[in-house]
Amino acid sequence: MSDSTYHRVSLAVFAATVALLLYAFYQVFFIVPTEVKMGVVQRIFYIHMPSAVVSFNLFFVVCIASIGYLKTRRLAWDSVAVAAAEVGTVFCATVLITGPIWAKPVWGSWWAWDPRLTTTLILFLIFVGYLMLRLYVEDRNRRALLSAVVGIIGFADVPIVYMANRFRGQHPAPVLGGGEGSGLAPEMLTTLLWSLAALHALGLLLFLQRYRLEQMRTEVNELYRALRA
Amino acid sequence: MDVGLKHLFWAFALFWLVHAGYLLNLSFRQKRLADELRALKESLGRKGSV
Repeated sequence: MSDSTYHRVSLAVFAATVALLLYAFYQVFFIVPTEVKMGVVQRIFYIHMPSAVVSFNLFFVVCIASIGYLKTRRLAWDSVAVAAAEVGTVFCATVLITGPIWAKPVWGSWWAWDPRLTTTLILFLIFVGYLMLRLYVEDRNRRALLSAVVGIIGFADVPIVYMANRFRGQHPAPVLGGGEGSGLAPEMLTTLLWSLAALHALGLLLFLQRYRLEQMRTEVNELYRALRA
Repeated sequence: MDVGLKHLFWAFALFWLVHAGYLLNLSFRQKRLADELRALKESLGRKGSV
């Protein structure tokens, strides 16, 4: 992608993200009704759950890009994977921050070693490990290969996190597609969908910036090689 | 302040702090690499003209 196309796309994504976030937060604070049992604190749901979905989708991108790298050995796939992994880890961190803040007034404790919470923490730690691994392997091809393997294994935890609250534990059952008794009031569902759109736009914006950074780093390394030659 | 409201405030505040901090961090890293790229291109230009 040329520099001018990249700047145009970035600007369009930035504008769309700001507009979607403003509208989603207007919905969250002024439109959606207050949940009867939990009160206002339940509104954390509209950033907590979409953040988890965005992180799962980004880890899926890591998995696809890692498979792409293993099949083709093209470093462009590795750049996509690391960009998605870093942004996914940031979103996963916000899930782990907002969850306990919501849990304290509702459950009476910040944390429970419940299957959903524990598997989410493991997912976060796997991708922190992925990013740390990249810092310690000097050779770019070896780093890409090892990262691809960890990225694929890391993604394997996503379906486990998704299924973890269907059997037992303190975390509520899924509100969408959770079988009998699941579901949301129409106003809540509309707000959730706007929040999902807004946070996906934010995820895309951050991903594009991080991918651009990786391209610049590749260019710097190539110039160093040219200088040494 | 209502306990729920306090928790709601902190959840949104920390959410934004993390994302804004990360976006700022990305722009600092991009700026540093852009400066490095410019310096390298100048060095290569000088090397080419020798």
